[in-house]
Amino acid sequence: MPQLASPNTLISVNGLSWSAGRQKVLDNIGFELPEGSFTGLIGANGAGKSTLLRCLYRYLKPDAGNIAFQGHDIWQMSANDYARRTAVVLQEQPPLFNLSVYEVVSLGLIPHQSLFASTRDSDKQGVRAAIEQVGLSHRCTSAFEHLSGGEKQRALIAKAMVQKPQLLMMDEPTSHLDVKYQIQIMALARDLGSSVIASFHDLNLAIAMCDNLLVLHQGKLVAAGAPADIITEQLLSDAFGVCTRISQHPDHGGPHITYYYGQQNHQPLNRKGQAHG
Amino acid sequence: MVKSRHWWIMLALIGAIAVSILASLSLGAASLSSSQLFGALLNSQDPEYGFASQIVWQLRMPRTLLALLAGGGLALTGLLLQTVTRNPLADPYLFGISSGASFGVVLLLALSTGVVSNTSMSAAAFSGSMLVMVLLLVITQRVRQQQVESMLLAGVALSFLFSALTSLLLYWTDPQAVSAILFWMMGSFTRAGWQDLGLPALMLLTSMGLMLLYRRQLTALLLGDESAATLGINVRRFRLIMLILSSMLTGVLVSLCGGIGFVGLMVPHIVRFFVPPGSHLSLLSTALFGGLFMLWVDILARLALPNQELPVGIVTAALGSVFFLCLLHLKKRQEGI
Repeated sequence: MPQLASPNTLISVNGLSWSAGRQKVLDNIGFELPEGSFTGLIGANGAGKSTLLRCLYRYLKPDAGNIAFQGHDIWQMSANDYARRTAVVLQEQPPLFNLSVYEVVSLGLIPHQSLFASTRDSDKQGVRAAIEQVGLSHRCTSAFEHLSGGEKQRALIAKAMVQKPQLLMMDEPTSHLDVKYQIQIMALARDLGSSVIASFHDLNLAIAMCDNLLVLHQGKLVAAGAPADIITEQLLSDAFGVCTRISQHPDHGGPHITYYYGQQNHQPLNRKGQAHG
Repeated sequence: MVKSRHWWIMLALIGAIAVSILASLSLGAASLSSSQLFGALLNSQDPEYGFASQIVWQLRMPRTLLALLAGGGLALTGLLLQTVTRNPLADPYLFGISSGASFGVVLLLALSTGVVSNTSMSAAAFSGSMLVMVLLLVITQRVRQQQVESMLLAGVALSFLFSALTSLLLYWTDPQAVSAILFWMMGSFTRAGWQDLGLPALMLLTSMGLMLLYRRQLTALLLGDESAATLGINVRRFRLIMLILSSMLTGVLVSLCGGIGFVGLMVPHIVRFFVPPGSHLSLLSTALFGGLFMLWVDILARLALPNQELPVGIVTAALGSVFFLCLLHLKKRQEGI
């Protein structure tokens, strides 16, 4: 089983399996998340990225195996205890009945508040500070629904910040966003000071942002480690079914993927060196 | 964020309710002058106000209070169900509560031979609505994923099933019972007495208290089940408790006043235009506005036709929809859409 070297393990996953009906969506997954790391979860559509995250944020109970947070089985912890340590940013955006940005962000206080407590002034300041940090102070009273995609995502990250998590989990936080916001969202997540695990569609963005990558293929963990160590043309061909060329990125020095925009085994188009994503 | 403007809205609602209670006590088939009204209220033992005091204390006061409780309760359950199902079209009867109540009443009328008392009608209605609720819980208990969707579908199915059973029974019973059940289904406060007020008041206060305590969790449900779960909320259990609570309150109200539509659906939306959702003020304003609205509906139902009363359900629907359409129009103009 691939293991990430780490002195302080935040999350360790062992033998994790989960099935939907007869279909095995996650098959015997095991890895560790070091404290303070930024981990990217990559894999083709249907590889099990979202399901793995759902198991990690305690929405799905594994059929087999276990997940431990700082040595404690997460299903032995109370839901509220776990919510004080982890925060999640999801894509799900149902109609919110005109809920304001401020209201949405202050939902992050819930795990830290008792039922009878009214919201303290320090909490309100925390909410405002988080909104300011994601640059939405001017939209504080706007309806969440009226925000653009990037602004919504930033508001949800502000909600996660208010939760003061040790681990932030994000399910494809940058899909549907402009390049500018993709970079902005990732920078925000990095500056949060928590460990982060996020699933990605954009492999180059994942490589640039993450210390570690977990590569899923058909429910199995096929590679885990630092991007420079694991990203190979063979891996990308196996896990994603694409034909690529790996070069060194001029800035961060990590691998940089150039895709051949034809089908695999076809004559590569002459588009070498063109950046993608 | 709660602003001082929203506190003013609440105060205005409370003031309006106080004035409306006085109006409701003095208006009706026999109109009371203000001196008669205050005499009856303050010196009820004084023989000079004997007749007025009887009208005020025995007839109109319980009726006024029941209208307030019913309006507030229905508006609050509407808000609760719209929130926990994330469905803006949810209303207190969403899960077939009123079909169950009608079924209970019709079954009682069909089976009984003599005169049916109000109390037994209420009991039959309440049993019918609880039967539907229990069936719904049994059906959706096994569902792990997409609880809301299965509940909505099961609720609609149960609602149709019990409507069909009711129609079938009505088809076989005598025409007299049909008109009685029709009037009952359209809602009325005429049967109100002091002894009817305790239970709905208790249910309303309990619901209100729990909703205020759990207001943050309720708001979090709007983000979706998954997001709410990541905030440490046991979504399934929480939703079930809220559903049982709202069903009991609705069941009690339906059994006392019949099926009064529209209030539970529209009042939460109307309040949302003025007070942002999620705060304790929005909960209180919703209940207060529901009560205020119902009070005036009842007054109109008494005054609209000489010597007879309209069923309140007709007035709520007619008045409410026009009012809501006006509000929608104004709001759109304001936003420049």
